[in-house]
Amino acid sequence: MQQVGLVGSGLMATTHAERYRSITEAEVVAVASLDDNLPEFVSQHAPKADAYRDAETMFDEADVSVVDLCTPTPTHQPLVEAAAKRGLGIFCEKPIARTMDGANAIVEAVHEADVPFMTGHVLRYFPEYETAKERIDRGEIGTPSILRTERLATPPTYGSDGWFADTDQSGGALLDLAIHDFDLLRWVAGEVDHVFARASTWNDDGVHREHAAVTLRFENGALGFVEVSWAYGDDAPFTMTYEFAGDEGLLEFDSRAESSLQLSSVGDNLDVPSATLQSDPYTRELRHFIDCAESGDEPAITPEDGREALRIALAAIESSETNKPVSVEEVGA
Amino acid sequence: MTVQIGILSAAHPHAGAYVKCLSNLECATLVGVAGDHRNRDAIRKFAETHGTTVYTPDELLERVDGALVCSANATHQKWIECAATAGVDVLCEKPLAPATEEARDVVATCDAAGVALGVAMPLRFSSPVQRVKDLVDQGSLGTLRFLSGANRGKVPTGWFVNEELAGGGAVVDHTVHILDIVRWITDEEVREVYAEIDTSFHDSSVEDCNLLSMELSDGTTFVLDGSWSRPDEWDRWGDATLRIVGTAGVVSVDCFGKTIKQTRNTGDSGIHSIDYGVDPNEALISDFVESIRDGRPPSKTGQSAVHDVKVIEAAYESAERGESVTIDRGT
Repeated sequence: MQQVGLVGSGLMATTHAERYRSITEAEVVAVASLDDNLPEFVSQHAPKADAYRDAETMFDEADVSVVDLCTPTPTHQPLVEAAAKRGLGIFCEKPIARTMDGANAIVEAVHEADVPFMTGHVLRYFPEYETAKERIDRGEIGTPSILRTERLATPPTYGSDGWFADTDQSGGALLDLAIHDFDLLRWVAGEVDHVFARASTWNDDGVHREHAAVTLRFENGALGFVEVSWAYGDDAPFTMTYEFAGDEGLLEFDSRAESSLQLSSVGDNLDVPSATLQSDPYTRELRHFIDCAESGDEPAITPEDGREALRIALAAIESSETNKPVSVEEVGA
Repeated sequence: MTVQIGILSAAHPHAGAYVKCLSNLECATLVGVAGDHRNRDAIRKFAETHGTTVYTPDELLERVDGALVCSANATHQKWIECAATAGVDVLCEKPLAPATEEARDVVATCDAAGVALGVAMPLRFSSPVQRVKDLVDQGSLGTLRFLSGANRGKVPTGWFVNEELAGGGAVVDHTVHILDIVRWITDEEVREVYAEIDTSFHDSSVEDCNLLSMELSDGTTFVLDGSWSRPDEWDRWGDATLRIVGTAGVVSVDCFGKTIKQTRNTGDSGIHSIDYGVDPNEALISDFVESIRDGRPPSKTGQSAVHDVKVIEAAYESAERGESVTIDRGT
């Protein structure tokens, strides 16, 4: 049984807290947050947990065996270091850190403390993507040639103190959003040699809007193309698509085309039943982490995986700022 | 009075479609076709299949007001010069030429001869594209910030994959369609290109991967995937889509979004995507015919196409140098 100390009380903390309910080997026993919504969060999502205003105090005083960091990106490094020092297992939301220095410090800290560590690259647990990877591994598209992904959203206006809009903290869409696809493509096609990115950013009445596209050249010669957006209106559903083209075939997916359940409500009484959380991607990733914390096995997503995805994103940001292709290997070197 | 049209070379697969378009136009007549004397069999077979007459180039040009040049890219110049010498207006398949110098030459030749030179850009006549142009013209999207286009296809055969005859592969074949409608909609040129080009899908001497990351003259980003990346078994020949991100909204256009799914057990068996609605090729030919009749330039002029060819050349240069390449303004 793992006693989970959750750090944060925002969107991802809520998502995780709800998933832990379906994981028998885990219980959220403590929540630490700087946000004023902490008492409400605890009562709604972790009623048996103790509330803390400070994470390190929680690490010291609560009876936790693992921590789950659902906090703004730049806070990951100090929190990981504090938890690792205390021998606690760590689940850390993506991106692993905001800088290569931060990522390097995290990798070192968790190896030195020999604690289980996993970054929340949850896309690997979405069956839409998992199935594609399985089929690509089986050779069904032949040699991967052009791997395209899209991730299209409205700008996040949740997030404490509007931290997403502060690119010094969030890295903008090229880091916060595109890192999902960078990790996914690296998982599918291996290391990236260089990237070239263009990002358009603009301020819309205090809201940071962005639309960006990155071309990637993999070490194995394949090409990638990642497009992300924080420019859509509130009426647009969150959209993810991919096209994985190889010399023997093509896999295409568009989340807008998914129509397994469509409801029309006359009056107010029809609620869309949520998909069972048992097999939900977030539940699966957390369950994997908890299993590893129990067994001592290394999680499938390693600290280095978290770091390498960040490296690609930082290369893309640098490219978008310098208008030059950037060698991924040289980032943070 | 109907406009008399001839087709010069049928090497391009669109030649057959143009025959059909002309037969549907009341104000035009297809007089006949002419081909290269070194390939008489091909043009005879084409004429037979499509129920038209073979002439020598000179004979045909004496009889027509306008000519559709449907040859391989490498011989566009030769055919255009023939037509210009004969005082015949030209609509040429895209790209106008495989090299900027050649493109400039044919524009100058037609100017000097006093004949019109148009380039086949059917997507300008696609109804969703025209609706988007209206949307942008009205300012409904606000300031444009990012354009992302895709024009993919299956790997073609024949002269398309012959470096000498085509001038290149996917970059030459699948850049200009979306590039042209972006220029048409935004009224900007391409200022800078970064290209990732490769041959990955087929054993070929020309490229089939064409990923372009560009900046327009007003700083707006324009990215384009013009790869021959659709598998041979795909249910369509390819696609042509464009996403335009503005400060007041985002619009996505699928030029061939009006489709019917057809499944057949017999005949041309399998699952097919059937287009319905306005046929852009028909509108393209109609525009050319009317431009002759009314004495006005066609929608896409050869002069405008010179910049498109510059972008193609810049893409190759960028891929070779591994960095982005700037394109000079003007011609």
